[in-house]
Amino acid sequence: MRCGFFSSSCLRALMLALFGLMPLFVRALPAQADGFRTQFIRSVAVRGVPLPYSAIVDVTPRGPTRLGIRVLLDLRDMQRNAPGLLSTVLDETCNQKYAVAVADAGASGSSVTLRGQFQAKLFTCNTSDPKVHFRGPLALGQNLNVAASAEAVVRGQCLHLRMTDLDADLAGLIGDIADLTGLDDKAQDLVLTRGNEVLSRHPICPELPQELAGLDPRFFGGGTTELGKGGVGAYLDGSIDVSAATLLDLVEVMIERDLLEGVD
Amino acid sequence: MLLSLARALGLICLCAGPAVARDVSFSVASVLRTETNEIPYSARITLSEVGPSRVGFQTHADLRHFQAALPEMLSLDLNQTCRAHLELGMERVSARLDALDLSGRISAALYECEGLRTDPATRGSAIYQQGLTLELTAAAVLEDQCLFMRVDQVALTPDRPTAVDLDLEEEVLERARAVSEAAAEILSRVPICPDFPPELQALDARLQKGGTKDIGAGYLGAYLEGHIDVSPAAIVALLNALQHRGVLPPRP
Repeated sequence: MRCGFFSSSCLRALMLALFGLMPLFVRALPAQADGFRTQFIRSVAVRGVPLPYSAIVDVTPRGPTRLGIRVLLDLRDMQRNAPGLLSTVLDETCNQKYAVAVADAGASGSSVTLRGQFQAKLFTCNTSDPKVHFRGPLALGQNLNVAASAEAVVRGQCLHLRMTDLDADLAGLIGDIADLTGLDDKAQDLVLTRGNEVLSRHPICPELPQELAGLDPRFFGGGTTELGKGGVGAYLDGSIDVSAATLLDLVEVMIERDLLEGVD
Repeated sequence: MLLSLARALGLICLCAGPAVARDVSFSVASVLRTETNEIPYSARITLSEVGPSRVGFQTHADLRHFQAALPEMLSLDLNQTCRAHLELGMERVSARLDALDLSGRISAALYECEGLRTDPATRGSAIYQQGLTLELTAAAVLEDQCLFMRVDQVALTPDRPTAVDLDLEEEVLERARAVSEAAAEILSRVPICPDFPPELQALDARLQKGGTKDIGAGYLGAYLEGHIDVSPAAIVALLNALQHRGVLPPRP
């Protein structure tokens, strides 16, 4: 373990190597000579912080009057920031405080997993007083390692991330206490409910370049995907109906952008 | 409730009136290619929605530079032999309705010539001289997705109709016809095609009809009409053209 002592710099080197390779993985997708591909950067603001993500758009013929469109989103910046974005106090009253501390997020194939800790603290409390600062000493603290699987659902032009189920690692727990406090159920309930509330407030709606948006793509599907090794990506799948109007739309764009000299 | 809403919406659609076919017009600068030259012209192209997946195009080209170049292009000094010397000076080219009228002068001379000699330097003295007025009328025909000017009427009028020697007059007329055919041939080799700007060249434009026209005061113009079938591949080609011109972000 030569890296042991300088673990942080070693990690950084590893990250650099890994992310340095990422563009290669993305490029390695089959090149479509008969298609159109473009890339742009957008960002989604979470807790006031703009998080950039890049999007690769592929447009390819699909049938006599239809184009397929796929928007592949590289969410690795969000992935790296998952602990800060998703760690939150879930529920707090005078006599209890539940929080989730997200450790990391990762993709494997088409599934995305969030790992972290569900933290429960129970206090003695005069329950008639709702104010937290009058709570008594900590009566019981218990942490539970959890892993949530997340999926992406497409609604309109937006991608909604959602946690579907939660696995709690009950191994380190004294069964009685778990039973006593209903910690597992609590974790299931709070992490999924509250976590999904946070996620649902932050849909990812990649704004397409105007010229593509003007083609009126309809998105009907999507999901999460692995970019490189463990990197979180997501995609939206849709189609564009091609008509005479589509061609005229693009010619109008050319006139607007002075590629063609318009005349009335 | 839903039904009434639907009816209301239907009504709104009806109230919006009949759909007016949309069209887009732009101008292009292009060139006509003759065998020796490129002659600039400008055109206005209108694209219009003629079917769910079909766009009609209509090109109106202003060919007055071509028209101005024609007298020189068609003035010939071809028929120089021991026996004869004919020169065609094309003088006037004007558009009339869907036809092109050309007129010029041919000066012809026949010489004494022994045997089968061909070299003009070996000719003897002039034995017959004649001036002729040439009038050609041409019309555009569609061929291989382009228009070509075809001469369909030729009139040769000798200045002095009563020649002393009818054989010599006939020979001059014969040779003058050959010169005018040569001019007609040159004229017919200039294609006038629906020329789209580079950004739109990926489109498969099919020319269906066209012709020349008088765009005022005898100036030559041309119109070309046809259609483009809009395919997904054509749209992809346009997107790539937009990207190539920097309107859409580059390929990663």
